[in-house]
Amino acid sequence: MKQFTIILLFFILSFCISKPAKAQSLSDTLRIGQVDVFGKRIINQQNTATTRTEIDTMVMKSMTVLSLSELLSGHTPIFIKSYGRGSMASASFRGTAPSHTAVHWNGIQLNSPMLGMVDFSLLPVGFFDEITLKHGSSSLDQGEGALGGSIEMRSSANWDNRISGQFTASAASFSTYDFWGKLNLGTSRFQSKTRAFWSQSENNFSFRNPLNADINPETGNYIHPTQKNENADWLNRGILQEMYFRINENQFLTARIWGQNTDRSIPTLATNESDSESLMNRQTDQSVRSVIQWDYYLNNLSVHANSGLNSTNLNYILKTRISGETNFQEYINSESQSNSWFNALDLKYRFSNQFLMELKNETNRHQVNTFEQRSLTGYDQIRIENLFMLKALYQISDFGLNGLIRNSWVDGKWHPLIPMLGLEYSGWKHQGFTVFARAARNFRLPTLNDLFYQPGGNPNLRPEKGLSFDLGSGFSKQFERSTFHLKANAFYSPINDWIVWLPTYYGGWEPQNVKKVISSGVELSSSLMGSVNQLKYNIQANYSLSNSINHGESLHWADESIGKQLPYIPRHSANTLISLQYERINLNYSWNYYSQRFTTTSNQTLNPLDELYAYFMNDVSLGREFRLGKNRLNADFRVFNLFNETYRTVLQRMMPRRNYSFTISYSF
Amino acid sequence: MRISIKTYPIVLLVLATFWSCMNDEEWAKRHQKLDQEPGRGLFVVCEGNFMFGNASLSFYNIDKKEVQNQIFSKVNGLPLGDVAHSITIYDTLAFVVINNSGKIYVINTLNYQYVGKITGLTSPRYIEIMNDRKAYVSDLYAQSITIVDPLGENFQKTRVAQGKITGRIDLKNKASKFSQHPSEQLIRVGNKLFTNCWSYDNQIMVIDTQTDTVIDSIAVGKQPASMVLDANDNLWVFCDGGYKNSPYGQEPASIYKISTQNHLAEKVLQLNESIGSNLQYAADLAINATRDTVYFVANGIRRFSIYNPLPELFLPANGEIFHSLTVDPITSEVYAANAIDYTQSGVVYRFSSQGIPIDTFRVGINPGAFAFRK
Repeated sequence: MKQFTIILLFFILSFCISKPAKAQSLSDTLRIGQVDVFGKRIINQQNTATTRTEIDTMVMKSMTVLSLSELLSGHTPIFIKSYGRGSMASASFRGTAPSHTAVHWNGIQLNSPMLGMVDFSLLPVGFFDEITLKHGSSSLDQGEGALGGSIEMRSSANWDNRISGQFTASAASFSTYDFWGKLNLGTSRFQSKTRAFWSQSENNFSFRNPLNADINPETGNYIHPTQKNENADWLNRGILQEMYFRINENQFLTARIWGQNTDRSIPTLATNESDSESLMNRQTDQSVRSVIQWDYYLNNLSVHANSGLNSTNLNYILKTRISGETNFQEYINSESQSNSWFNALDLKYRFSNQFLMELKNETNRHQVNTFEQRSLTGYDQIRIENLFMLKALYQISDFGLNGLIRNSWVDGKWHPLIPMLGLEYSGWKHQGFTVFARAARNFRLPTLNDLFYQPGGNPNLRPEKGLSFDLGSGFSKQFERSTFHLKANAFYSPINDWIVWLPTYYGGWEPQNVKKVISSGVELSSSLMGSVNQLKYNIQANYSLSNSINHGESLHWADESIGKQLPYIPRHSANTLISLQYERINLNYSWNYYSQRFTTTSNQTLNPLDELYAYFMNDVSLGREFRLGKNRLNADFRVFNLFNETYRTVLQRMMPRRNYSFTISYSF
Repeated sequence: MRISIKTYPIVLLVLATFWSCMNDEEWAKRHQKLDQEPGRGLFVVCEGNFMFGNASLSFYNIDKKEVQNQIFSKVNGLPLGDVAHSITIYDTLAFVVINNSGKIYVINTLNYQYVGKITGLTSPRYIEIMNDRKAYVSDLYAQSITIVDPLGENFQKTRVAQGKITGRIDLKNKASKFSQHPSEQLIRVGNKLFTNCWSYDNQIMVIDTQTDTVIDSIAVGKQPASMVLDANDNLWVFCDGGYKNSPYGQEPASIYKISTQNHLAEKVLQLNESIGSNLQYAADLAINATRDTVYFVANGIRRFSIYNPLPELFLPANGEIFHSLTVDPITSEVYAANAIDYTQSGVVYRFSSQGIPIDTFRVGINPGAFAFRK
């Protein structure tokens, strides 16, 4: 497979470099705020035998005005299934379903209790200081149910800051305008961080539609229409206010509130030829998230308590104006409100430099209220959960042990214990090698929609249950003027009672526990940072092999889905980022690749719609920094889809060809 | 192999440019090969999956027992669209209604070539063709019947169908809190057109085809889903009864008989009584060649005589969940489809009128509607 050759080549090349470069890495140009040393020491120990990916803060900085879906698809092993530019984007981590990726923001979970998933197209990269992926069972210290893994977004204070900020404006193709601003004010005892963004787009890119054709009555030839991506506009606005209080040397209080409103149209499929004012989809997402957090440090004890709310309101309308009529007629008008209240108390005690224990309790309440005005259907349900975790980290000689056990009590019912045990060997650390193994159990409760949605909700669903085994290694080498990192991880995870929504004979859909899925694969990531003379470079590459195979029982003699890859999960994904900086000029080149994705459970290839062909995306940006005294002005020109490729991540959802953005950013 | 660090990024960059994506035309051409099959046959419309746009059309040669799948996309290099709902044969043309693409494709039944289309529809379900210049299209959302010129004024000259909308018959029930009346199947008897209002409804609407006005509505059970016309010009209507916890309410599935002359409706069967309380599902009506025996899906396939409507088991389920059903209008052979998990190729079974298996063949995803080519 020739695409695969590229990926392998990168890793081979990584080992073949003859002359390690001399100089500091690019990352030394980033201003990093003060970090609490005590907290960091514990966090480092907590990484024993875990698989994590920290997203490069330089990459995050270069994508401030973009969404998390664009960041994750281009720079991590996670597959983002995007329904179009600006449309809903869901994640598949290690070949699992979107609801198997947990998303945490400063202590609260952002997954909808109604749907179980997160729409990554709504999350602005510029609202987070750090993003960490926890692969597979590495996510268990944050919560259960993340069978694929979790994504954690965090922010922190810089206590040295007095006043600083950044304002960014961007104009891009298809009448897209983005504004983003950050203002940090504070003293050594109080810090305020305010961030806001505004993003709007007509998103009306043109495309020649190969999926529809008129017939020329004279010649009989097809005429494929050139059409606009109509009804695809968005307006997305948000504000985040964070306040950090240093009560004394041992106590910190943090309050955060994040409000966001997104109003967008959802374009129809490319084969649609209804009237232009037919089948118009409009979706409004409103959310308010707030967290208050108290951190206390005393000798070997640290206490973290937080309480947070996540309120979302989703309104979806499908409407049509029939020719000759003046008013639109609504066919669907659904309102879905969810309110989650999270409360957590986390105690960590360091018995010695080799032994640390953590005890955590979470009490959460989720309420979902949905109503569809045309069919008069909906539900109102509450879920109360109490989650317990006991975790121990133990270091003896060159061996590190990371063990935890979780238990949960949900709606009056105890669920099975979830143990996790990881062992890491660092005896070859001076040669740069570490190896680890990890095993865990996990399970995920059905979402409230799975249980109660009208029509189709199935209150008899069982939780999804899984085991997870990981084997990993890390290699680091510091050369005179460069640093090389390589991480390799293999995973194997059988999951029983996988929930799938299936059509029913009466025309609706209903969730069923139908599948046993074995998710297995390999994750490789490497980075090389250094410099040659005045040229600084940072090269990163990721590759992921994800086999998500249906091992369930055959439904029928003709069922060909057993032993096949789940629909819409690419087996191979890879990306590279090459960042070069020469004095104040920087060039970034990113490349990412997803292999073929099947659209059927049988992986049949009978027609072009049974599979989505593999695609490569190449983006390039050229930027220049200007110094204005202590302040900086950055200008950046970016080309997306450099080679003007035709590609899709979902059947019949058109994606734009080559497009551009120009961004100016002022920092002080 | 030793490569200088200076050339390393350049090598990667150059390599990346050599591999480009495939494009749609190249992709479609990979699948464009098909031998046309003369003779009598069965078109099978496969719905595909909602919002996937992967509907397809299959053709089964009845004499040779051979099936060709994806015939529309293979011959025409175009996808059929999103949710193909029904097919109507008119002379040598097939009208395939693509529900969630708002259009109806017109196809030559002999060579499967696309000869034109009717576009601009909202959520079309069925088409009933009066003549070359007039047809009716039912619609799930529009609460009206759309009147169309199915072929356009130049069809006889150009052989390219350029259908267009010419009018509407309003069906809207302003008094209901539900979106009534959606329209489904269209059955013409003389100058009357009957349509069943399925979703959150219980009416059969009657339209005068000379004046294009609604002249009557007939109440039946909840959610009339399927209709057939018998030899005596009576309509048989299957009502699915709605779903559990529906705000419109739920009642046992039933079958009604309606006189197309005086519009009187009579509940003939209540399925949980006539079949038993173990009835798990029921769907679809079909009628035999002499139009005196009605077949329907109910824990397998059952049938009854129009003169003595007591259902008998024609075919036990034996683990099959039949998704759709048709009966050959010449031989009375029965075809029943199973969609398996609804996301892979479905199966169609062919039985004699005595229930003896004749053939089994695979078609596209979600086989849901049928039409016979003479």
